Amino acid sequence: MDHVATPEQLVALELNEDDVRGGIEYGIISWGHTYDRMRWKNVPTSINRIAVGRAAESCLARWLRNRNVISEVDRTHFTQTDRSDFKLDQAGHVDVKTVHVYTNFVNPDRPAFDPAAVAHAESWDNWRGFFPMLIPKDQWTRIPKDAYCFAILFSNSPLRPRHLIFLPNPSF
Amino acid sequence: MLTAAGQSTIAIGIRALCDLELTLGRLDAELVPQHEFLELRDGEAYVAKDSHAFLYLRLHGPVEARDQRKPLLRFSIHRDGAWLRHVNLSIIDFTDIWIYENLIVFVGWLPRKDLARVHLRYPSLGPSPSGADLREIEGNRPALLLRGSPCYYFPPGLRGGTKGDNLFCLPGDLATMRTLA
Repeated sequence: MDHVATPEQLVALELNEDDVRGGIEYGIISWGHTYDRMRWKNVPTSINRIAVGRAAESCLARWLRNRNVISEVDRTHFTQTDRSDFKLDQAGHVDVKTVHVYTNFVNPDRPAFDPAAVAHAESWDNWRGFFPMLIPKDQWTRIPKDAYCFAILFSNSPLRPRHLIFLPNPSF
Repeated sequence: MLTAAGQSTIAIGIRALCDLELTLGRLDAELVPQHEFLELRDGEAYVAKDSHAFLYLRLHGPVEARDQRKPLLRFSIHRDGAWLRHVNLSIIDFTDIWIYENLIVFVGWLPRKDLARVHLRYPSLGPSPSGADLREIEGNRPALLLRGSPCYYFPPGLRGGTKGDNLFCLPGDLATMRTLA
């Protein structure tokens, strides 16, 4: 099995309208049933985290489909906490772990993204070049999957000062 | 009518107070999510009967041009012919949760059994006392990246670092995406 060694081996894609819309809609219907590891108090932030994960799965499924690899995605059980829905013949149930780098909060100490820095990252001496592939400890033991796929999303945070969706408060 | 959850259904009403394009998200009586695109003229109304729950309203079209003070629509929920709730909504009642201008980089993948072996190569790491960098944590097994550890995605700073304890490996440990396809 080839291991990541060069930036050309990374796969950079854009989430399209369908990926995002599907992710957002799934986030809205399922957020109340999703285990909230971060204990977000902010409902839009919680929905955004779910949406990012689902949109990444949708994007990956399209990339695989273009290579004649069919993935199974089951979205019906939105009330079951953290159910694994993404399945491949070869790898089994795959958990797509996506970290979200907010592009609308500037951190002057953080260097611009460089795929070569990711591909060659071998140490943890400096956080600026430390790209850990993360699996939350509780998820590793509580919800075992057959395989894990890792992605980095660069996008805005959900705290953008524009307005599109009305979400009901609990009294609705 | 009773919903799949054994409750009586609700009706969701929307009366436009200006020309609007919007999507109504709701659970129907069978708990199936429905997303209905609506084009409503000023004064027009739409009622979604036999619903289990209201989920969201999504506005379409330019947002910046909307008058922040002017109500856009009257929203109501009814059960058994009685209003449970009704409210006028203006643009400031909406929150943006869309994902814009994005780039997603898939780094690689690995079977669980390989990850279980690979992550043991690394020491446990945690934030330095200042939180500005990393330090090795001796004797902590299994190896973890502890809460508050800074990395490229979660830099140090106010509430910086990782938000919980994580198993971790490095990109070079992963199989390439091509091998997944």
